[in-house]
Amino acid sequence: MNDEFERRLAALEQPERLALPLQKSDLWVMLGIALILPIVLLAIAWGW
Amino acid sequence: MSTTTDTTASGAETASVSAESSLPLLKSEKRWGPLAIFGNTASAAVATWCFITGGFVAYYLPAGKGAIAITAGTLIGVFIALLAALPASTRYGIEAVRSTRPMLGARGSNVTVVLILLILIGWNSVLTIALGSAAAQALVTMGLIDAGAVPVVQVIFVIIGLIVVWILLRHGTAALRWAGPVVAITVLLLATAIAVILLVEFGWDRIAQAVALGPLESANANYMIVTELGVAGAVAWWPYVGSLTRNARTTKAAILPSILGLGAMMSAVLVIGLLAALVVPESGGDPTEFMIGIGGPVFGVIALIFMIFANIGTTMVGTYAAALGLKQVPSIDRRVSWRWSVVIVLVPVLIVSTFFAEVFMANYGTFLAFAGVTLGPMCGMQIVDYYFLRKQELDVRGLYSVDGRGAYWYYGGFNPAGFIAITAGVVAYFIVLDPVTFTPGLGFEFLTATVPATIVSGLVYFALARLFPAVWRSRTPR
Repeated sequence: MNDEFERRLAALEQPERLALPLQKSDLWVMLGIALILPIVLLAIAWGW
Repeated sequence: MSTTTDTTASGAETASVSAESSLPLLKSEKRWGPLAIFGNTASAAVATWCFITGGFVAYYLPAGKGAIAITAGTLIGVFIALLAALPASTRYGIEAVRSTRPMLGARGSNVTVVLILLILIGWNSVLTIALGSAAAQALVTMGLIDAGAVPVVQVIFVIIGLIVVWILLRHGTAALRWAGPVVAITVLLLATAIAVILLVEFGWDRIAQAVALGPLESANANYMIVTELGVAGAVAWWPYVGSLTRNARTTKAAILPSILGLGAMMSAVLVIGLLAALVVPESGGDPTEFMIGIGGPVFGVIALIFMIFANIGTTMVGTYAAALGLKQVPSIDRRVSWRWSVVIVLVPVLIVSTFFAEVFMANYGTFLAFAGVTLGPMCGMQIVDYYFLRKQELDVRGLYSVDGRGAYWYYGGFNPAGFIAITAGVVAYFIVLDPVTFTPGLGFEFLTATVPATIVSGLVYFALARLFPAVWRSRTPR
């Protein structure tokens, strides 16, 4: 198990073996759908 | 090379072992595409508790405003939880507990284990209590038992349900891959059927004109309490996000399915719970209380059976996340097998569901608030730590170090900055909202409570990290 563990850690220390970090385009998707849209909805309903 | 390993028996075995141990998942072992991520996040979020939370909304707001406020709050909570947990989990293949090591320290992150266990035991208890209730109601309707036998039958079905969960999970994540989408589809079908029956039985005009059941005097306070229920309920998915999305092939592939699975699907069912509670107030949104009454015995029994299976599936997802969290404690990981980890997680659920079901459900709102009180600050701190301080780069060996020398060992295994920041966030929450009585405090009517708690925690953590650069330098990645 220790060998397996070591193999994994060694692999994860190589950036090319990792998934890409969060990109700006992904962040905008999150911001748009899950933050800006609900705030707009809240503002509309507030004045309802 | 990795592709070859993936397709071999040994590769599959290794992937399976790592999926339910403390080991990080490698890129080649992450096999969940968008559909599996969507299905599992949706099955975690879309469950009986949505109807019950929707029932809570009916106390404060009518249909239109309530639907918007709970949807918006849920999406904001999902944003906070995803931004905090998803990128680190998908990039490094780690789950929620491990991801808190940089903020809390190698030993300090054990606090997260306790927190996650408490929250997941709570969620699973809600489900199993509803499961027992649905089963008993179905049997009463079919004339198989008397109403007097309901309490005993409920307990029997709670036990059966938990045994089924253990059987399905004892070999790891294999069952989750198919169960997630099946459960999500089941609950959505059920919710759609309930919505149609409500519309046919009561008509849209009556639903839309139904007044809130017990609103506060302040319109703004009602509005924000509902938004807060959404935010806190969704932030409570933070442990699930880490456990599930670490199986995603890429970060990009996990984002939209997670937003849709956790946010959109959950909101839809929350709204149906709200509508049901408005027109059948005594139900509190709980389908077991009204499905037979308004849908007739045949539909009612079928729907209750659907609910039983859906609750088993969702309990399975929650149990997986909790057992995985437990395995992140090195001493437990070494001594306790996966099967026993699942048992350890299920026993408290059994105790709560059997002996404290009534008390627990009477305090459901406080349980939801507990998630906001604790996990909001955790998310705020993690967002600051991962993006602003570490620029999305973690020290992998530090995440797994147990010898006192890792990058995240700090002071005896604890990072005081993290604990101070969480405390500050919790205090901020209590200043703006009493989580037990739901009495609004300073600024609540404009801010909710979880959002300011999240922001305060993040700001305090950032300030401490900047004020003590010596500590910060010692924990930068190698």
